[in-house]
Amino acid sequence: MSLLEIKNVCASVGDKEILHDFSLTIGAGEIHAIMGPNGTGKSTLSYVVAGHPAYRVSAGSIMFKGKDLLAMTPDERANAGVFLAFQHPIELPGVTNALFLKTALNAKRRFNGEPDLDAVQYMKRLKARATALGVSDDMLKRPVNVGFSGGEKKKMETFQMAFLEPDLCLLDEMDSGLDVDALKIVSDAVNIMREKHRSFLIITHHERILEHIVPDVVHVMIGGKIVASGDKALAREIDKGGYEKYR
Amino acid sequence: MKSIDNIVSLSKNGRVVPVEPRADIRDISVSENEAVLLNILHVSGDVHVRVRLAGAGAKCVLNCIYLSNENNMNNIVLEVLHESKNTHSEQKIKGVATDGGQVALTGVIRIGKDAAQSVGLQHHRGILLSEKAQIAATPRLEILTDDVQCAHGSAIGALDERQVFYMMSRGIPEQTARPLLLKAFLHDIVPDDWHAVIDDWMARNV
Repeated sequence: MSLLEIKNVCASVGDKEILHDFSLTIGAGEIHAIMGPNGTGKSTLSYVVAGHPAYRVSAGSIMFKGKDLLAMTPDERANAGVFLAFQHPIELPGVTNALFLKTALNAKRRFNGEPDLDAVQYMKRLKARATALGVSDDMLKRPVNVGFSGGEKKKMETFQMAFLEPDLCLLDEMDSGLDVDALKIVSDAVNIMREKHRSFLIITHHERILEHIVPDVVHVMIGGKIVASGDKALAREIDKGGYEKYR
Repeated sequence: MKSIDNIVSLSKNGRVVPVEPRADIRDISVSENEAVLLNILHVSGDVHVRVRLAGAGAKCVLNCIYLSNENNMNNIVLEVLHESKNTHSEQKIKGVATDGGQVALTGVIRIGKDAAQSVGLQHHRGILLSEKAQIAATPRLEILTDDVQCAHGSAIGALDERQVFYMMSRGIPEQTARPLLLKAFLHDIVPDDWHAVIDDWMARNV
């Protein structure tokens, strides 16, 4: 069974249809990359899968682990195993990373019919993951994304992802605004998370991130749909020749 | 239903000064090089606070939270009068209004003619939780001398839906996300032991 099956989806924001008859299937354990020029609907795709209320799906279906994803609220989707790493992570003044992740983890546990972790169990788990990913105690005590640099925000997105252990990771332009060192930190974390049951969808403008995270399938997206698919050689070809021949 | 009373705390040079809500805080005079911290949690009725920075080098930090619901009208007047040179004031005002809650806030900074080299700041942010709720903020700056720094800002709006979606995208249900964001918004400018009062109000009104 596929992990994610998007079939013939049309989606719009306001009056503007952005995804046109879009289809994509991702199997368990696969890494897919979607490349495309600006304004082609890549971020819309990630918002539609995560359930952003501003995006309306007018046709088609999205199945996740055999369940109708479109019938679920954003928090239900997350707890079922979908994680969206934001292109522009949102600041939450006054909400520390430690509190944020505790609330999220216990929400997931309740969703799965498990009891909340107590403070000691939680801190133990948080510290273990933080150490593994180089996240300091100080960062955990700071409010979510407030005063963090672009690179730090992306690092914390990756940390949230590793901590919550989703099955489908959507990385929306994770590489934008990252220097080489930050890109390596983020890529290393993704590579550590690669498992048979976990899939990734990497949305990007550039081939650069795909040198660090090697995809199984590369798709080219233009005008709200996929126009070509191939292996990692396709990413290299686009890096050299651009999108012109696909328009 | 149990209702919450207004709470006020006052300290001078780091030492707590006992205050009766309504009486003692109406006029607070701050003498030379004295520093005052005034915290207010306002849930109903009228409050009018006037802080006079009377001596040179006097300082005042004034933090005010208001919580407004259907049952209440919140009338808040905060005045800071700079009367001597090199005086500093900072007012931070935050609040929420739900149901048919109505808030009228007037924030005054007056820098008198003898108060050169003074700094007066005022920031207000109000969150409307229903279409019926109203927050009216009137900042008033009266500056009678040159060589001062004065700034004020006021923003009134709904809770940021981007924040709500971000939390939901991490698995946090909407009915948990909204109060959490509001508590975080209010907690940071008041003493820790008031947090439970705010949380209690949130649980009953949001």
